[in-house]
Amino acid sequence: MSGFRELWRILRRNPSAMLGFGIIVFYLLMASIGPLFVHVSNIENPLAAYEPASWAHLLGTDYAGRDTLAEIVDGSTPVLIVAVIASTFSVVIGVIIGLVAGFLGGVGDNILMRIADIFLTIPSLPLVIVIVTFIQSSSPFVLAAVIAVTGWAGLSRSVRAQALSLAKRDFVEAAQVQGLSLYNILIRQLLPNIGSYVAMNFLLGISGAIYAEVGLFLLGIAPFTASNWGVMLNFAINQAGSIYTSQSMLYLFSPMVAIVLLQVGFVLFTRALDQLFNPRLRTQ
Amino acid sequence: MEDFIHIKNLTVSFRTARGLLRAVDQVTLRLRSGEIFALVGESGCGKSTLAYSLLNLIPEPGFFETGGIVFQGIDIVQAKYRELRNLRGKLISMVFQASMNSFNPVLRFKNQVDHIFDAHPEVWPKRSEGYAYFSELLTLVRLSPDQVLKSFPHELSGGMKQRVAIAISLLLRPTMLILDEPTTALDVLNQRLVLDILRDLHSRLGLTVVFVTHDLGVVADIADRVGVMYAGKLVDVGTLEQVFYDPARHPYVTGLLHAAPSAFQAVRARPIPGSVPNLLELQPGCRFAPRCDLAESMCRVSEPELVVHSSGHVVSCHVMSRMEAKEVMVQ
Amino acid sequence: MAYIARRFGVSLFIIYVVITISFFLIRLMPGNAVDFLYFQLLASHTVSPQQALQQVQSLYGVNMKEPLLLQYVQYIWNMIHGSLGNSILYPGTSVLHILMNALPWTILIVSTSLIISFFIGISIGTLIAYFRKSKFAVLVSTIMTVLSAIPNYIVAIILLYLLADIHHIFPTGGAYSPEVAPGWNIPFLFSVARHAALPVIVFIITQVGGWSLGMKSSVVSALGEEYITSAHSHGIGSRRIIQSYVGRNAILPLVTSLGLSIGFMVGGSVFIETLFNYPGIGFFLITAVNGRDYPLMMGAFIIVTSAVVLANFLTDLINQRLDPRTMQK
Repeated sequence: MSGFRELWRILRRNPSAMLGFGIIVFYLLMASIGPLFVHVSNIENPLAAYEPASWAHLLGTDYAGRDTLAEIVDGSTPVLIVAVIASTFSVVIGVIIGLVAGFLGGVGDNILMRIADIFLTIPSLPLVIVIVTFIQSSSPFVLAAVIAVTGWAGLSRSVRAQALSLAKRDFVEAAQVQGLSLYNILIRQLLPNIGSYVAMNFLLGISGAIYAEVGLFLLGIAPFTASNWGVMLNFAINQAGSIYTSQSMLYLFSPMVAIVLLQVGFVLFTRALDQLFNPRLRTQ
Repeated sequence: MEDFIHIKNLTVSFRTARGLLRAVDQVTLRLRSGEIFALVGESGCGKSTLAYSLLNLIPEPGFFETGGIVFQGIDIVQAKYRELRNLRGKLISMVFQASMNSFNPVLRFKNQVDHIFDAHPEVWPKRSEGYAYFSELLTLVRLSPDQVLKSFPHELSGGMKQRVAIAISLLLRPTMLILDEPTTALDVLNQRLVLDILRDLHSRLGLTVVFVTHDLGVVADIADRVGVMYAGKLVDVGTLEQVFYDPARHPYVTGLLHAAPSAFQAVRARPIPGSVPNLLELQPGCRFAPRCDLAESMCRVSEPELVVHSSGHVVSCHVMSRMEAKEVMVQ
Repeated sequence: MAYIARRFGVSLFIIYVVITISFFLIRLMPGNAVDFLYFQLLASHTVSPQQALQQVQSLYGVNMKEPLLLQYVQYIWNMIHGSLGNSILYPGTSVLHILMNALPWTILIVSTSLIISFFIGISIGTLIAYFRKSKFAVLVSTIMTVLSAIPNYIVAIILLYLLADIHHIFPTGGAYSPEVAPGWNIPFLFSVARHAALPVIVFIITQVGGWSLGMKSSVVSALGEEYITSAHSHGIGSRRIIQSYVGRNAILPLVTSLGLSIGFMVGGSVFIETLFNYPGIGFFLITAVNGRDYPLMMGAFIIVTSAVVLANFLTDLINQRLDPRTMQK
């Protein structure tokens, strides 16, 4: 719990980290309770297309006369759900493989780390695109799992390195001498020590998953059931031709600003966490 | 002997989150030409900072708060960057504590030596003569010149790198050499070798040497004069004999000698009780008083000044000054 | 040498794994592409089962009626000989032919923007490391942080939107104008540069932040090294210390991450090439996905991953040249 207090201390001293933290909290609120307050109309009314900002439509309307702000709020939920699940998957896989490799040692370790190397070398996006094309599922879990397939390797390497160095330290040996089970050693001793890596990778993973996922929807590769920011961009560019008319600026830029703001929030916040976990950087 | 370098009332401070830390506090010291001067103290006492000051190489966020260092008519503290560049390496050079890390890991020694020649082209107008001299130096430190020059730093052992560092520091024939704990990171055999080499070089080249160390055994081996620092203050300066055998030496020096498991004491090593004070939370009075067997009430109130005893031994201790005064009266 | 050979062996092995993944995807997944095409052909009632089998074989290069292991061996044999099958979308054209025409364009935009953004990045990074206490450096750092957070396709859309009206300056499609004759002549090279400009600008804008910040922290940690103080103690000039001591060492971790960055950029080229209609591998990958041209898609996947794997191998070699300490390993 002292970690949270330390985090708060750093946030208070670092305005840009605080800004990043605030942005993330704002988006989490928007994605979880925002859809309760907005309503995306099913009625298409081309006569009301691309209206400018007004009190009725704070961000104007889309090509079919629907409220852009409502679409942005409504579209945040599927984006964040997939990203959070994907990052959770890849963190879990990464930690498990890293720990197993670290404790197994020998041939097993070698094989697992070779596999991690392969996934680190293969460019992730083409692999994700190809798998998504074959699977053709609109389930957020499936999409998240596909994105996670490519994201675990980096974390597994750091967890393994950490597990190796910790396994040599006294307290793990002491725990073993005291007859504590492997489970106990893992949960009580090791997990707290790799917590910082997990937290950083979780946040970076969400950020990376948002990039990949929105991109897939933008290109129209991933099937979807509900609209989201990527789908909005896809419609704006490919179907409605909004990119060629200057009236559509508000509609076209709204999802882009939504994405960029969230990604900036993640970068600012992860930089603060980096300082928290690497105190050496703090003084510099 | 004349003053070779004169450190006047030097204070080097570091800005920290909790205030100014005076790593070197109002130190005054004269070094003599051609001597080997050992600067002794526990880690964190300011001896390395004082050594770095001699080249105006204080690391961030340190700065000179007061005082000066006069060397050949210029004040190193106030000197401009161009004057410092001319001084560094050519007139005064330095060998660092961790010489294994004091070489650029991606360049061969030949390149690094070239860079030094480039920086001071006037010293060796003919590069080949410079290399001939460097080969001579490498031979003196018992290394094979051809092999060293074409090597990368990681290809030599720590002891070898230390000796290359010493050879390189003498490349431009400086008049003064500063060695910051040159033997600490070495094994016993290499320590011996480096000390032998240093003594040899000193007698051949006649340069002035400042030797920073915490190892009194090494000091006894090599030094002409000794300065002892404690918590940023210079507390005792004298010849080797004075510091090791004068009963009027600073109680801290006595403590250090007792703490050293060496040939001087048949008794078992006895560490000084307590620990070095935090420089950010100094109490009034003598900085050593909390750990001192001889401390009196006065020692906890006023800080002693450096006093020159009749023997020439310089000590900052209320008790010792009083004893000295009595002796003079008796005489 | 042994190290290079071993690294090259690892690269070949990864390419082999990629081909295996690809075989698994087209042949073994439930509802896989090969079965799908076969049953689609049968259902159309225009061909005999024998003809359907032949068609499948000409597209994917495997005979469905043979044992799977044999098909696998056959597939790998085909792939390493460059027989990537025939395209469905571009009938009568071999996949290899399409992709070999596309690959140079992807290499062109990725390598150009990588080199430019790398050098801009290390220059900015060194500057903001040296002046890290100044307001200006803090501002530049913040701008770089924000830039590094923006997805490349967003920058591409913004440029498309802003430049749509003046697209006679920057064309939005193709790798060169159809009016010029390909070859080493000025009009052609100028046309190529104009067509590549927007994709390259997008990559530079989105990559430069990461390089700057990486270089900044690398320089800051190099500045604390003993050999920098030592170089100063020898009176070596600041300029040389920045270049040969600080910069030369600070750059090493960045060179190590070049490989990762190439993989990321090639992935991003899928978006950039599609948005700008730039006929690189990424463009054909998405075209194939949208047209369900599985042979072309898998071919693009294999070629693009192999290119990245080989690029990784090359950056390893560069890294080894720059850091003498890796030579012994």
